[in-house]
Amino acid sequence: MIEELRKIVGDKWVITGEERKLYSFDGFTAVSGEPSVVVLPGNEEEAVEVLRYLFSRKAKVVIRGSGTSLSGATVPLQGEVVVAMTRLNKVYSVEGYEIEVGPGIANAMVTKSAPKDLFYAPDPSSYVVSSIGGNVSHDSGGMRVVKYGPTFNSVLSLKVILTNGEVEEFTPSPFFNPTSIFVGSEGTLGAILRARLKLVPKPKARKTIVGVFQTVGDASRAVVGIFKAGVVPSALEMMDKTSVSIVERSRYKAGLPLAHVLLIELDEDLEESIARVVKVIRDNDGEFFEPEDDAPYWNARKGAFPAMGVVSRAYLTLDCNVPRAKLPLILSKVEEMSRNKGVTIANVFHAGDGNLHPLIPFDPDDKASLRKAIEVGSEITELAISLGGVPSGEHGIGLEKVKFLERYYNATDLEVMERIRKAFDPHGLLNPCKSFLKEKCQPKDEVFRWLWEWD
Amino acid sequence: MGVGLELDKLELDKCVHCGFCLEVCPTYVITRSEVHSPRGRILAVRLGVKSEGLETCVFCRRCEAACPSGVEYGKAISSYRRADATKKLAHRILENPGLLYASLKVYSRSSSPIALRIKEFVKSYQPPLQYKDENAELLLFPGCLNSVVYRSTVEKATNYLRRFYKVEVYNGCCGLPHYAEGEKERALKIAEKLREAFKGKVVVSLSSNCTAHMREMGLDVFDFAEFVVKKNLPLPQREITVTVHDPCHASLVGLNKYTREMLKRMGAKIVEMEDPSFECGAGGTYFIFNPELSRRIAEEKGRKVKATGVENIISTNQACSLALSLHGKVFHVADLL
Amino acid sequence: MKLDWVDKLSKVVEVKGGISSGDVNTKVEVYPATYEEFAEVVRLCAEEKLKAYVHGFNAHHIGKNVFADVGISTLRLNKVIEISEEDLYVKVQAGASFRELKEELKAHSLTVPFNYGGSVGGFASTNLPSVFTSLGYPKDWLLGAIVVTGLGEVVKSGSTTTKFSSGYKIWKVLSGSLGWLGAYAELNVRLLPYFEYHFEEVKDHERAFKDRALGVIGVKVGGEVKKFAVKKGDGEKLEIPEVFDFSILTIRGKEFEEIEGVNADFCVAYYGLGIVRCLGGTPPKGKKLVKERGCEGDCFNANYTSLKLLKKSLDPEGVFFDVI
Repeated sequence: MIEELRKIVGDKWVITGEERKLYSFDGFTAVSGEPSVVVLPGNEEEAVEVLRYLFSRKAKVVIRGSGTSLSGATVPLQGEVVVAMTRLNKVYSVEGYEIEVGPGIANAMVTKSAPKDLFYAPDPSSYVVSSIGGNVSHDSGGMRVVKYGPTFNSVLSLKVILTNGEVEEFTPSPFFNPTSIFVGSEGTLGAILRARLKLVPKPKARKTIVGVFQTVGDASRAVVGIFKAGVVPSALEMMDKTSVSIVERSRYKAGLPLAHVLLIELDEDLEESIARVVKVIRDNDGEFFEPEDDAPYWNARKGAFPAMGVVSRAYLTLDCNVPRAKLPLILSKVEEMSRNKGVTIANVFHAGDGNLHPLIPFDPDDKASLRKAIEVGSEITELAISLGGVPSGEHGIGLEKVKFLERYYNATDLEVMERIRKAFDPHGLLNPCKSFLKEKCQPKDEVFRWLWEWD
Repeated sequence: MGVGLELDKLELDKCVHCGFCLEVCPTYVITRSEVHSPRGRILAVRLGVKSEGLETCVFCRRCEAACPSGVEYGKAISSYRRADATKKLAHRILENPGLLYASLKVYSRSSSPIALRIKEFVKSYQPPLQYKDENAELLLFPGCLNSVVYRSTVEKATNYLRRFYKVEVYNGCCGLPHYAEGEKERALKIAEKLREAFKGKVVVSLSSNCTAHMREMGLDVFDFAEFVVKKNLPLPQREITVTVHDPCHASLVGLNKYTREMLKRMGAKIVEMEDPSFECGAGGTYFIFNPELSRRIAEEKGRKVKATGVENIISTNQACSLALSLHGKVFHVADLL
Repeated sequence: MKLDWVDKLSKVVEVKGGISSGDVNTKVEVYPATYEEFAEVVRLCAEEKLKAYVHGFNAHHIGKNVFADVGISTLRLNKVIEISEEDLYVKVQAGASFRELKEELKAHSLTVPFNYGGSVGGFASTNLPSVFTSLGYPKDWLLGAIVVTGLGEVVKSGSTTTKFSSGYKIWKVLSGSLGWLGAYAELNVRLLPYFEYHFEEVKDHERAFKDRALGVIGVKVGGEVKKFAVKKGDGEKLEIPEVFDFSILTIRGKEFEEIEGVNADFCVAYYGLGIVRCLGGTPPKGKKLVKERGCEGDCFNANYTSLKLLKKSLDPEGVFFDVI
């Protein structure tokens, strides 16, 4: 098999020795796997040939891009062949409000490749590096979802390869467009070869207001208040006191006050919106300032996850999503959990979407601390679901959240999703053991047991 | 494992595997393979995996600026790189600009692959400038390559500084190639030697990556443009349009703003290129030992330079200047004096 | 004619005579009042090998003419279940009138930024463009749904939150699939604060769009194309018909190039949505076309294996009529 792969992509793009371990995990560092071999096709034709060959051999495959998944979506758990699409990073065309790109291109490069007055709206925090293939496969979110919608709203059509080897290129039509089922399907239905994306006119001006609050409750009530005041901000982020203190110790320090902070970006009807937002902040006992240069604050927000490295070598990043109205409740519960369990939980998240990101640190050399982090995470996610939320807003189910599906869905819901997966992938070749499963895989060790099984 | 290595491993353990370093790394941008990325190299060290990637690092350390966890990649990874005999020989030659001149002469008659590669970049060379005013108060440190490959720059800088100070030209090596390419111990020794030599003198370096390295070694050194700007030295006016390359290490310690300030004071018009600190392709002696990757990095840099439509490129670092000469006319700020 | 399956249907649901509206023809019409009844009807159809066609007001039929055994009307499922001012969504049953829903939302100072003269289920299933072209298609505004599959399963898909990365987007792929893959019983639709709007004639459509108008359209009557920007604030409005004969699909931003060349009685270019819809005349050759009415054969340019696989998973018995 390795010989055949080498023939297609060239010797140096098939990684077989020890170096293949460099592809053993992604941004989810609590577990790792081991690929049997890693292949890096150099272009679309090679990718098609590689995948057709692997599918014909019934080889199990994990498709990956930059490897920034926070749910472990690209960890090879069963000695799969890892096919890295990073070299498929071409811009095929830019026309009108559309841009067509390869799956390996980094999100940030899409806007960079677009005409000056347009931009690609979805902006997950990892946008400088995370690839479009992964963004599409997870329906990634980011800061601007609150106004511009998730990745889904910006994907016009896809070109995919199915496990029967067929390559399909969908027309960006409003009718009968199968693109929808591939967005957010976590690499379980086929591999994305190209994406046609929507570009949006840039706003004339943007304005950032920084809201500063003494309690999480005030801050989260202000979030709800902003929407009730008829304002839809272009971004609305919260950094709680803990996360502010961490970021301020990192390279991303912005001089934020040590408090619970809302970063509110407006890009429309500025005067009117600012007045309304300011009133909401004041009504909720907050203070505010309008920075001349807002870049440091947004950089602080975007660097906040990995800045956790300053205090801990490893951490779990949850991304359960609740209705905004439930933010005050769930945040106070999380605070309580943090106190009771003696675990530092930093919250830095997309408040405007109700998309939480509790960051739970653990010591990678201490299994007990990992177990505790998983347990706390599990409790928070369950709570979110019970409050009308969802297990994952933007990171996907991956290997991390498979057990929560049975909390969110009933058996029939899962059965129908299973039928879709089986129809597209009858031999179970794509990303086994992950995402939308009716039956979970056998845990290979205790960490997987903690992740996959209920106590 | 020595205590030093132990500490360096701990430093690398700070990596949370987020991947923010990937797209700023020149070898990743070119190969798009984890093997040739900072994250991959760190993991290789942590897992004890023997990886080709450790040798392909250009050591530009742009990944450090991108790292949210603040991993001091350069300091830590340099302990895990090993120089082979050829690299060691190259380092010895660089330590002594006189020897460098002699070696270049020898290479000019050779047709070994290394010699040919060097000749692609180095078209002409002269013996280093020896200059010393009596009671010199200012040491001008050209950097090894400047001394022999860009002697005219050294002359211009010397003549300019002589108007204000008593000057001595100090021909030598800062130790950066050693530090970056697997001879960290020797690099530390070179730094000690320089500390002795620099004692009691104002030191001005003509090579901004050397400046940056010496600073990080704790030496008190000005970069040329920094010195001119901070001392408010009078400057001539130049009607010229340029694009500015930001040498990587100089960028890390924030020297490039002085280059721009000096250009502005001279009335030069600057057209910025995309990602000015993107690696030039030279990487110290990298261009000699990793010709294929170096070539492709240089091509990428070339695209960014060409997009500005400007012919004149400012580079304050000699190795970069060699690589950039593929894309236009290269000047050191001192060349404009 | 008394048919055995009609009796069986009458035991679970209210049954009335069929409709024959030219493009949609059914033998009987049934009116489920609960999701369970809806599912039961579909299960019965599967058992009896009957073809079903789901519709609301039957006002926007697109695709092949329908000759189905059972017309499933959603009109009894017409409740607005929840309007959330905090979270800007409405939970509403598929048979509710879209216009009435908008009236009700207006009382809460909220709106769904589309115009559509049928049911909420139809709004979602047809996924038709509207004059607010910078706000996308209906599909982008659907947060989640309760769906009835071709096996009569009642399934939850999606949520009420703007972000959802927790399962296949079944509710999304149903949008624009005209009831062929499954039917909506209930929908969660994203809302905006209520706004008034008006039309302004403009010269430079690109400028208007880049100045971030709510939408930009071109209207072609006879040979002349007029361009309009849709902007916030009360004022003059244009009536845009909702039923067309064919559509041309194009690159977003190239709609005005298409509308210039087309030979039809009346056309609307939806600038930024990649679609031009026309009445009368002849569909141009060599274009990506959707034949909306009176179509036989391939109406949608959508002969995909992926669609067949979806049909196989969601409606394996082929209960829902092949409009495609």
